[in-house]
Amino acid sequence: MPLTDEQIERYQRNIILKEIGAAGQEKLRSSKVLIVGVGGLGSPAALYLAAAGVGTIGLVDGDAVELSNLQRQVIHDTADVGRRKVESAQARMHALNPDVTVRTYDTWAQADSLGSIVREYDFVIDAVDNFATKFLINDVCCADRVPFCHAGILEFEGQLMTVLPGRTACYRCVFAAPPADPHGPIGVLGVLPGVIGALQATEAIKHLLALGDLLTDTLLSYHALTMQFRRLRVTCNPKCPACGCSHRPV
Amino acid sequence: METLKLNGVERQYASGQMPATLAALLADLGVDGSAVVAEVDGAIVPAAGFAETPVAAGQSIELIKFMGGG
Ligand SMILES: [Zn+2]
Repeated sequence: MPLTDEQIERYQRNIILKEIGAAGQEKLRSSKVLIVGVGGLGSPAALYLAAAGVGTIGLVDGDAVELSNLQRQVIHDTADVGRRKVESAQARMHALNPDVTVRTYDTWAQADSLGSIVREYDFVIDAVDNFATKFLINDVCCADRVPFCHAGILEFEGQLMTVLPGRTACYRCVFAAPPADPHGPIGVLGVLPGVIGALQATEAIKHLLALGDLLTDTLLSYHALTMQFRRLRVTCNPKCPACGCSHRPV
Repeated sequence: METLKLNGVERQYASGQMPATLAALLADLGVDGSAVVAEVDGAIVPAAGFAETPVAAGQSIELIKFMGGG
């Protein structure tokens, strides 16, 4: 189906990029991205992907909005405190772009259910706030061969990497097993997940449109206090139980 | 002088003063070994291997923090 006049106007600044064009915009409209975690990272990722016209966006989160979330989780409003996060985010995304279908999963990501959800999507964004679920997303996406972008934040620092399962190093290739989760909340500069979550959305769009170079086999780290970005080459761990990238053809 | 590259920055040690293992290097730096993995000349070393992984002049060592926040 060609873009409507309204869509052509809405996405004008995408479409005039020769790397995207109307064909790229139609591709975004037919694409599906799953965001696991609608918090600090998930907020900007969901807003920018909705604004960009990604046709179907899934949101997984079993939590309700709390006042202390609002310092960084910019998709939720003060009036949303107490509301389910996926509902609050869905309402904002619809207000921003009614073109987008937002599917909500008001549940915690779990081993027995995440696989069947992930398989319906073209790309997954790991925006969760605990190690166990980061490893779960990695393992499920690797098992189902669904590309994804990992990210994590800590205080003034963030990191991200994109994984094409079976072809590039996965999260578990680098971080073999989860460490203990911290006791109590960690401090985080509120704008930091805005930077990193927006980078995850960038990776999603690049993957969907086959544009540029993804952060594959590369861990990008960012330090807000020094304003340094560093790219670290990482390689597949031949012993990694998750991704099987050691078997890839060379 | 002996030199290590640590997270992209050269670090110099007087002869014989370089920590012998990754575990000793982390202790020297005051870094909690359970909060990082190391990459030594491109090869990942998990925390369980820190005590027996030797450190030598000329190596490039990256300490990669676990970041669990979202
Ligand atoms: Zn792997």
